[in-house]
Amino acid sequence: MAEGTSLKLLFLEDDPEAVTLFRERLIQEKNPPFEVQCVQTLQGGLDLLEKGGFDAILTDLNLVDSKGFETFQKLHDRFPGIPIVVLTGSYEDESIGIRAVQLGAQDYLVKGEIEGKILPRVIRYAVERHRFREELELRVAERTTQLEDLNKELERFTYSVSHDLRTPLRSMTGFSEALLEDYGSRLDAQGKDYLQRLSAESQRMDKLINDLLNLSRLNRGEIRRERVNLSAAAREIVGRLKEMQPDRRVSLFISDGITAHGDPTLLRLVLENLLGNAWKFTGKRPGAKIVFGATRQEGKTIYFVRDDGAGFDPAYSGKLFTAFQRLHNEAEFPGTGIGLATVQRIIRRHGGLIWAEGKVGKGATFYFTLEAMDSNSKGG
Amino acid sequence: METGLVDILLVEDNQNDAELTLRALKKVNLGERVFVARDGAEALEFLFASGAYSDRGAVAGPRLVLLDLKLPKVDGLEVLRRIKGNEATRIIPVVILTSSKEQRDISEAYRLGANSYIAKEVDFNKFSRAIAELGLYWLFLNQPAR
Repeated sequence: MAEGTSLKLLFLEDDPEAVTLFRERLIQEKNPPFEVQCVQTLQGGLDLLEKGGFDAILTDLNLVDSKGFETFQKLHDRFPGIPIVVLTGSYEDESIGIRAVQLGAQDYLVKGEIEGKILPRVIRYAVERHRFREELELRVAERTTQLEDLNKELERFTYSVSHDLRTPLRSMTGFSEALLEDYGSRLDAQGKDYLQRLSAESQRMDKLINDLLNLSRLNRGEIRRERVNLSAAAREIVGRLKEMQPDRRVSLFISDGITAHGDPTLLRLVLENLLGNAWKFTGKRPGAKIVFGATRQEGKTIYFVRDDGAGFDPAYSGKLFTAFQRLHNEAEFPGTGIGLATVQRIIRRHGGLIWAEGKVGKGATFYFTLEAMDSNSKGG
Repeated sequence: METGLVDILLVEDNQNDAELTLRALKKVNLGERVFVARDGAEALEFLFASGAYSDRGAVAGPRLVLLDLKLPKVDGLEVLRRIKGNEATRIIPVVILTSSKEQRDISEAYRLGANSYIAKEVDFNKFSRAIAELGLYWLFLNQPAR
């Protein structure tokens, strides 16, 4: 409906009195003028709509050939692009009008309560609202397409990263190894050591690429929600850490019966990272202590992993969860700098929060929740 | 290279990876009758004795194909589709040998009839062991259809 042109309305009504009354009110309108076409049956209405050209529909719900809510539904199903205002009788239950609005009608009017100029206004607004909504939907669709394209682009990027960055690394490890095998006898201990470092660094880069890919994969896919026994998972993880370094003496305290509602694979990854970090950063402390527990605050569970290891400078706590940001140097505590970024992403995807407390040389505690918390209440 | 008698067709565009794969095969004495195709198109010409390889007897076809996925001209999945879609070549075992660990590549390869899917390891010792084991398995241990 362009400005200045008339608004073409189809009016479905089988009561001649109502036809005359409402038609009178509508054709008095000048801005914009209404062109009203009246029809007595639903079938007649559908036939006219088929020919096109209508800006809006005003319909009584009770016609000779269709009664009640069904009248609206049939019109809306066939012509979802045309705004509909329904009329209900004053003796009818108003809920039918409300239901029509819930399912896509622009408005409803109760006969006998339609005073003055309200009728043309309701129809005009219905047309405007409908047009506005269609515009919004169009914009949402455009935005969605853009985002989908961007996502595909990102996936293609991830794919080539996973493939193309690994290939040169394999050449590096492969030819280092070949050199060592074929010419090892001509190299002294330092020469061999250099080659081994080359190989080890290539493998470290491979791990980095892997961690990064896992991090980017976390944005895809659904989060499963099921009951997970975190105490059992923590015991298993710690058991494996002990196996890898049987000489270390660490006191481990894992509370019993800690459960969570979340994705089992991802939550395990969280614990592997947090407990792995605690294990790593207590490596230089004889008789270290690591605790996994949970407390409740305002009806919500706060999980925590605490250690008395190297800790961190609280001034840099904001950088803890940023990928590739490390607060310790590689020689002292090796790592890729992606672990905590991964943990944070998993926690966020569960709708939870993660934060940390610590001091240099005094250990660190990582807290996390798996449900939304009032951000003021965090802080241990 | 002698193209008459070939046990293994290695389809690999990366010169370094091809050399390292051959090195691993040689360690278990499987390096002699290997033909290396540099892209998917060459692999198909070789397999179906067409183009530059039209004088090659189709009967001397490889007993095993080691196939990279990301290839110039015709990609690995397409090569696989053609091998498995042809009566004469579908019985040749095809092992996908790739850097990609993407689940969708793995599923698609198996859907098209790949016999194995091996992700190339950066750790050369692991890579080397995998190549040796798969070569021995498919050429000696596995009993092929006649």
